[in-house]
Amino acid sequence: MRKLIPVFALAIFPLSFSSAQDKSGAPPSIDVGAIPEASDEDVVIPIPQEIFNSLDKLGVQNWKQQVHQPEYKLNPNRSRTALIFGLQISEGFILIQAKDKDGVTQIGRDVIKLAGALGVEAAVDQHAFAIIEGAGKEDWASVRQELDKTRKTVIDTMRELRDDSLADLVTVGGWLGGTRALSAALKENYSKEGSDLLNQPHLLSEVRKRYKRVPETDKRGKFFNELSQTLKSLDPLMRVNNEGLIAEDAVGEINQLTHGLSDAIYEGK
Amino acid sequence: MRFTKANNTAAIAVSTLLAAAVIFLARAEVHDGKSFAIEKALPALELKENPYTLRENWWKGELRKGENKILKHQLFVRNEYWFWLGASQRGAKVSIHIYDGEGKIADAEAFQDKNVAGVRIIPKKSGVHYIRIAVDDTIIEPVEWAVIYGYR
Repeated sequence: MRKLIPVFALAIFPLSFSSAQDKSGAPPSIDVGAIPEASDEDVVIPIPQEIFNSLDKLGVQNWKQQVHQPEYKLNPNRSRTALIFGLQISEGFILIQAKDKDGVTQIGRDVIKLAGALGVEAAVDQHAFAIIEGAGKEDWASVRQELDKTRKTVIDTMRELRDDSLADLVTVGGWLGGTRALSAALKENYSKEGSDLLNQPHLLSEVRKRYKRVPETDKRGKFFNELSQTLKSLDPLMRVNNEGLIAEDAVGEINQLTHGLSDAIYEGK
Repeated sequence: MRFTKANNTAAIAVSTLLAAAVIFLARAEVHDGKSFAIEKALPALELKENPYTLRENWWKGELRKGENKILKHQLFVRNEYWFWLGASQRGAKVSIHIYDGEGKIADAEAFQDKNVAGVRIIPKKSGVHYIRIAVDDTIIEPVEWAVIYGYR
């Protein structure tokens, strides 16, 4: 059964290319200023693993120390549950880096619990079981793939159920968790090369776009004020300075902001 | 009154089942372009040493002959990426290339094989990059396309 391709505004446009083309027929340059805003379907948010993979190439990281799993209790606030879902998926990627078998197994269980609270358990159960099974075998490659599948399945299912706000909040939570861990690792072991990974103005702008369109009525809880403020405050910090890097104090500030916000969401105040 | 309640319950149950069925069918989506792209990607994904990891997210859409489209995507330095473009129509000829944040071509390697094309990149900096896909030739229009990517 072929799914109908959603009707969205395809950004098809004549770019002002340089007239010359290389042997492959590709223009040697494009005018990036002429590229219109991407539609949602055109934006793929990288998973934390892509970033951690790059950081690991700079040297061994202490990922165990970057795991952050405070106790939390679910309440009827589904927006918060969606944010926690995103945060927990990110934690899963950190736990895989740390090769923490028990921690990853717990993430699999949490996925089932959180998916149940969001009403999408049927869609993600098989992935959650695969996470638990993979962790048992310490098959980290397959667990990584299943976590990515879980994230995508939850977001797709939310959209199919017209719960776009929750889908957006899962994305926001996932990005937040990954940024917290990345900034924590860089804070512990700062390097100019590593700091480049926090240069994410485009991604942050996409995350802010998703957050902004969540209706105010769905932003229940004081932590949403903190979320709004934090996303604003991160903007000048997550872009390279005149020297082409993210300075050490900026990394510390990014970590402080994202860590504090994650805690506020888990606490649900 | 009881009868009405029972009817309502049945109606809700049927609606829920229908919604579940729609979601199930939607999830069972098959995109030929994506399948062609995955087929081409397999050697890189199945390397014995340091294979690429395929992302679950992918892009799709439709283009006509001579049209192109730009996808913006954040890449991270020190990683290596392959992007594969597949068209559902076997007779189509497609191409894919990648540009850095300043708009300069950044292909490390690229190939074009009828309705499938690919490009590899080792980004010099972390930041947004631009993936340009194009339908260079086709008899059947529009061309359904899909782009998948892997990293290592």
